[in-house]
Amino acid sequence: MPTAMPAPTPTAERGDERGREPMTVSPEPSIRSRSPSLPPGSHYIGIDLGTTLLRLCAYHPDLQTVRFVPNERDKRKTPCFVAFPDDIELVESGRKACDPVVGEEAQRWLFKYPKATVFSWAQLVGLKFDDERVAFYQRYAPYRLVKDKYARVCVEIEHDGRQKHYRPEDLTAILLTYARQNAEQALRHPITGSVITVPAGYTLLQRDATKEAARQAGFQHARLISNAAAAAIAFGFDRPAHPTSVTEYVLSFNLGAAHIDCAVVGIDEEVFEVLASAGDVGFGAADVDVRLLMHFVQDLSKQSNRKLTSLDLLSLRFGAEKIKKALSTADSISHTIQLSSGAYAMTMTRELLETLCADFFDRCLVPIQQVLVEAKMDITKISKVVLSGGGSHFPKLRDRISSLFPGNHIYDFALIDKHKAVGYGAGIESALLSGMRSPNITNYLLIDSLSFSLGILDTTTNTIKTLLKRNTALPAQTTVTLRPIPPTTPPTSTPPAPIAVIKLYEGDTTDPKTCHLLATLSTPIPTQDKHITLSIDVDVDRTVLVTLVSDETEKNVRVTDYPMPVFDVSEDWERGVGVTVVGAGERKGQAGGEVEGMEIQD
Amino acid sequence: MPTHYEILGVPQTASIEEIRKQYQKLVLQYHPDKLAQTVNSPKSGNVQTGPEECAKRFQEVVAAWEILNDECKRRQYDAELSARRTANIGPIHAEVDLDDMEYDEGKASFHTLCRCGGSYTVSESQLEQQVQTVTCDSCSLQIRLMYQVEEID
Repeated sequence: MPTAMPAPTPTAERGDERGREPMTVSPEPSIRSRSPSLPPGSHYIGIDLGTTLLRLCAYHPDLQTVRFVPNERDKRKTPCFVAFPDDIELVESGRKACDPVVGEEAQRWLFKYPKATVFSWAQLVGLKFDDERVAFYQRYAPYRLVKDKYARVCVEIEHDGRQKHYRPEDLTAILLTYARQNAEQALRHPITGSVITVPAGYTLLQRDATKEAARQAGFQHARLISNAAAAAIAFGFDRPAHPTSVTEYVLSFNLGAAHIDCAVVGIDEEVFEVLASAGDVGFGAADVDVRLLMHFVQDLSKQSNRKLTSLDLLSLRFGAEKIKKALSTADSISHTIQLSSGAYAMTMTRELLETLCADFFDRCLVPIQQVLVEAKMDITKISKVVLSGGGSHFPKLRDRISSLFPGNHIYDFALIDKHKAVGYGAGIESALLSGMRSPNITNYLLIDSLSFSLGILDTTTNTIKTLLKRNTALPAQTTVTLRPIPPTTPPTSTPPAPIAVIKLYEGDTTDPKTCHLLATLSTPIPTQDKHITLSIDVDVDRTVLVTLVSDETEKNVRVTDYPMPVFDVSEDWERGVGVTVVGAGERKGQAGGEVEGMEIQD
Repeated sequence: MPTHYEILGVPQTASIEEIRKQYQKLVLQYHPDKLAQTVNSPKSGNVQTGPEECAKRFQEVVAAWEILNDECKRRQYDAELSARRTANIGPIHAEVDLDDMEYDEGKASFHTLCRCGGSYTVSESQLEQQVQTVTCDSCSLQIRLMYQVEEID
């Protein structure tokens, strides 16, 4: 029974810290520690963690290069499915109740146990239950989405006669545990590190949730890189010989099932630098499936004797996915989907699909324009466009992207399968973090950058003052001077407020309502020169460390806003006063591009 | 305070290619990932510098490269450097982005506080004359202003 594994205790029944495998939790690094690099000899694997598929890629010592690692069914891709079937067949084979099954083994239970089989949950990671996207997913998901105590979305699973709640990252942890066990079996050595690909537009909260999943799955260190960056790395190894003294700029575009990733990457002899990245999270190739599904539902409504059950919707959804894939190469396809009311036969043409999805293609091009502006990159300086992700090979989209770039810029991979470029890139990065050296893998450095700006709330204007701009190279640091705002109420009615309250936000606008609150911090109001010094440090793993200095006191807070914003206000914070930014200290690492509408107008 | 050229270890006359080479050499030396690898393999050097110091150097290198890599910003920076040399001005305490200074609408000027408690003030008309440095109104410290003059038609 290779797929069975111990289930993590559902969140509904435990406190947050308990219930993890003890061996998997590394000692808490010191607050000042930067890259939690693993000791020499540690092994990393590359994980292409998609919404629908997972691929593992790791360094192969005999071949001296990276190879995809097969799962226990000898397949090089695993569908992202986790199921909790209460089936007699499994119980008889020695499986304990509530042990999850993963991958293809889980996929086969979908129609028998639709309420206990979860798929496409990656798009839910780090979302609040009230997010409008949650309601949208619920419409097409057979499993139920509920709210946890942090107001975040959870998946409710019916098994063992009871309802249990799983956070999306718990499900990711189950999938990653399966991946790690597979890799350890295939490679015959323990694996403690991972390079996991995530959408470029993931917030710090979503990244932290993914890192939490990796921790639960037994990885002591997880380096997250964007799909677009991973594909660019793959390009760097696949590209024809290039004069080493010239930087090559590529635009990497990745269209996954539930995200669009885009990045401008500068490639040099030994350095890959993400100059700008942007993404659309929660929108991707699966939206084409939904368009098709809605078209089928409309078509079926014309046939009076048809009534659609929830399982029918599921069949139509997976049918739509198949048709979409087929139409990437064929002009038209005839397909029959089995429904409860009988077979539904239809013919779909690529032309009709393109009509249904006209605005879809428009939206795909938005991040491309955005990264070009942010990287201050003239279109003529882009030497190649690298496409990755299943949806990016859609002919219409290819044409649209191609028309943006004069000349034939779209790169066709020579050595690597274009569908596996992201996994390949993650594999190479994992080999390098493992310290593997081989004549086949250039020892390069990936310099990643901040996905969203970080700033604090300036209470005089009630706007967010950006302190570190998006696309700043990591690690990054900045220091500013703050002045507490004197209380407006006369000091006779209330005693002076003891503390200054500082709110740290992530986001690209100046409006606190549209940005994401990372932390609320406090510090004593200084007596002498009325200044507070605030420093923000972001390390290569995007751990955010805030240092507040006021008079003699210095406070360090590590902002790991998981599972909810850090709320570090010491005393009487409701009467605490706000702050305004009065001056920049030493400014370092401010490599961010200037984007229209992003600059703060004082 | 070292100049961007000094940080990158190149002469002011260096070509963009020379600067790029040097920038790459330095980021490879100071990036935490590379540091972890050099610490892991004792054969190569650079074990002396701690991770804190390396991250700081990395940020300085990136900031210097950001200016020198941009033709326009580099020209402006060069002009500042020569102005600083010929005027034999006092110590530059910090570089301050104009965007980080407070704007006073009544006086049409920008100001920020000095660490001595005094204030640095620059008026819009001074900015139009491309003033680069401002002296504190109560001590001898100076700041360099970082801004670009936009041509308005």
